[in-house]
Amino acid sequence: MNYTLELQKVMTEGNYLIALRDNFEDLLSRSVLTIIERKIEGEEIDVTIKNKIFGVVVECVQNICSSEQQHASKKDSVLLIRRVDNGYLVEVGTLIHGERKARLDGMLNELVAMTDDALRLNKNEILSTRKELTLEQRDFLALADIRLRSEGNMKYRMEEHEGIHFLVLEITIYNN
Amino acid sequence: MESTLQQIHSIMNHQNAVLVYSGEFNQDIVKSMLNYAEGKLTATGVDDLVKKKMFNVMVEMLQNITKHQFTSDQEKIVEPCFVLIENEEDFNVVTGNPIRTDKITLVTEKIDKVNSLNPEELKEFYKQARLNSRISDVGGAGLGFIDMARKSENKLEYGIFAIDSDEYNYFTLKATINKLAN
Repeated sequence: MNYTLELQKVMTEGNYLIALRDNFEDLLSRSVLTIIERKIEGEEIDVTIKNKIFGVVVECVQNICSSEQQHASKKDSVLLIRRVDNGYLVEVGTLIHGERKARLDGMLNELVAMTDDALRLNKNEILSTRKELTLEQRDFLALADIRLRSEGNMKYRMEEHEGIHFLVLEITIYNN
Repeated sequence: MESTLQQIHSIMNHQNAVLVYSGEFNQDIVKSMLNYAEGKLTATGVDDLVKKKMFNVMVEMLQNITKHQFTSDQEKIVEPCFVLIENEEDFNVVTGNPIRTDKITLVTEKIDKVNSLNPEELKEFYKQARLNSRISDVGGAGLGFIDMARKSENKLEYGIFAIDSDEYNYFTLKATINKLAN
């Protein structure tokens, strides 16, 4: 059971508050938020920042981590929250299949380069459609929302291990 | 170089851990952990009896860790830790907290004693320990361990690990709850 001490060390050294590995079904996302709320409510933190953190976590657990239905039986996502200088860092990693990887690769490049106004415009355009949202549109909405809430402080990378792709997002919310 | 996310994810994957929390434990945190576990159990679709067992064991272990998270001088030389593991056939509730080196034998002897008993003997031992703890009012009869073993219906596992301290070690405790009700 030395993994407990190992986890404790890594978590303490990195100022991590909590680590969750799951598929974040609807039922669980509420509990995830409650734990985070309890954890940060003792700290002097502006309500706007708190709401931004919650907004980002909701997007991550509901749309980034759980849209891969074919992997629903596995726990393919990990969510970590840590304290950083003057803010909080939400790190999320999720397993993605090749098709989604190709889709997200292009989308993330584009999205990171867009201005906030352009992001909002694209978001509104998607939201105004009466048709059912495509997977691509869902991904765009979630990522655009995360980027806007974090005021552009969203980094991403793709990792590959033995043919399995892993999308990692690092989102920092700064105390203003 | 492996990122911290990769390190944590890799340990969690390897151990089948679904939740890791390290930091201060208070009533609100305990309550939200229990809510999370409840959601988790509902999502897993386990029997109500298993849910109840799991809930009881978690309460006992979280209370234990809340009580023993600090060292005697109220300092934190090492953070306590809570890990929830979901295996194919069972759940593990694992806690880690500092323990005074001179208390190790006392604690491990209590767990060894609990582990050596069958369910009937455990029931009798529990009655006796309750009576003793009432008389001495110290609650040091290992009631918590007996309770955990009775409710989990499995042997308790423990580990003692060295940390950067002369007076303290790190004590880990694991309870196993089967997914199928006995």
